[in-house]
Amino acid sequence: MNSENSQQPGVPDLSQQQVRLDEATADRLGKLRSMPIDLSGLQRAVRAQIAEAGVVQTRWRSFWAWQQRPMRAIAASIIIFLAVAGAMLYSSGRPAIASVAQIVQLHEDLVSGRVAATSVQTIEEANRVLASESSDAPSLPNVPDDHQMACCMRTIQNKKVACLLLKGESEPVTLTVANAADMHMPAVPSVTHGGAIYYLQAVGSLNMVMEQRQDKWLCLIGRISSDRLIAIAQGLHF
Amino acid sequence: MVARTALILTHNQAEADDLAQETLIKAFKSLDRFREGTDMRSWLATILRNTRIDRIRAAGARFTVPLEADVQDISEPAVDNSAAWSNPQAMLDGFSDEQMIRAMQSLPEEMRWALLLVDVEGLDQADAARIMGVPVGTVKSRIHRGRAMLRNALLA
Repeated sequence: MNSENSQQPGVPDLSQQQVRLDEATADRLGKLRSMPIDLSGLQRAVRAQIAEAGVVQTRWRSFWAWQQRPMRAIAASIIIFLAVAGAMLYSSGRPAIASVAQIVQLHEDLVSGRVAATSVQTIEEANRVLASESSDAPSLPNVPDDHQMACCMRTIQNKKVACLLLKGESEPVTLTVANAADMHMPAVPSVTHGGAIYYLQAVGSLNMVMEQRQDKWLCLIGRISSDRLIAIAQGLHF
Repeated sequence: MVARTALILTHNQAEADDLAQETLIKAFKSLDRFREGTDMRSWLATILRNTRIDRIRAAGARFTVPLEADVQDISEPAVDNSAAWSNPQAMLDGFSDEQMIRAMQSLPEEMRWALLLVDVEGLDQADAARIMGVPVGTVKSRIHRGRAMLRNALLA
């Protein structure tokens, strides 16, 4: 890693424990590289700005200057162009990453009432409500009857997700459903129960269980154990 | 890399989007100044850093390095020797990305940059020193001090 074990001028002599702490800290910070990033707003802004005529004209003026440069430099510039602009412009159709931070926020907003949700008695009613909000709303699975329920449509990185707040547990649980083609599973630990793979994540006292079933991506989140969340997930049927 | 660094620096999605957007547009407009053999990530990081400094200055704040960022005689925080850190890897993995980023906000800007470039983005210390315009020894010092401050902030 980046830790320095040998003593250098100006660098303190580190104890073995200090080296372990530093290496562990560097490792944990390095894991932020795989953190999901919401690029939707940035994509829109850069797309709009690059499309402006002024920028295009500048590039054309620069093009003639490029002719005087070695081919390798031109190739490097083209790579930069593709990396900086191309990736930003053409990635909006790809699946979003199931951002843990956004799902946590979504759950907290629903539980606190900051996001309006419609109370419903049945899943059929919930699906009707969601369909009225969005014609291509992902359909919700059937859940056990002993839950009070409220539903709403939200977006995660421009991808539509159907949300259902369940209040039958000791703590509220939010079920989020998206089309599997719209949502990438984040790189988190998984367990297998009854032949199904459940992806687990914990944020503070919140536990999260994600699953891909047929063409749907499901996520359950709440302040209850992941085992209980998995049990709820096993009771869901499309 | 630009979007991630901007988000960790600012801890504000809208501000990060603005910063990343300005950086990418500047990079796009100055492609002809990109030198052959230059590492692209270092080049983009330099533009991002200059853009960040410009925005801070424009906002009326002085872009300064707090004295503590360059203190050489570092006394280690007592918390580092506590039982809580007996398994530092497990301890740190227990913190969410959000908690890590929030803790980064408590660090002086220049320490945050050092950790971002070296630990988060994986640049070598010499590249980080070039981007930050300081000697490599200063980067080493900021990284060491920054990691210790970060651990303290996580347990605060």
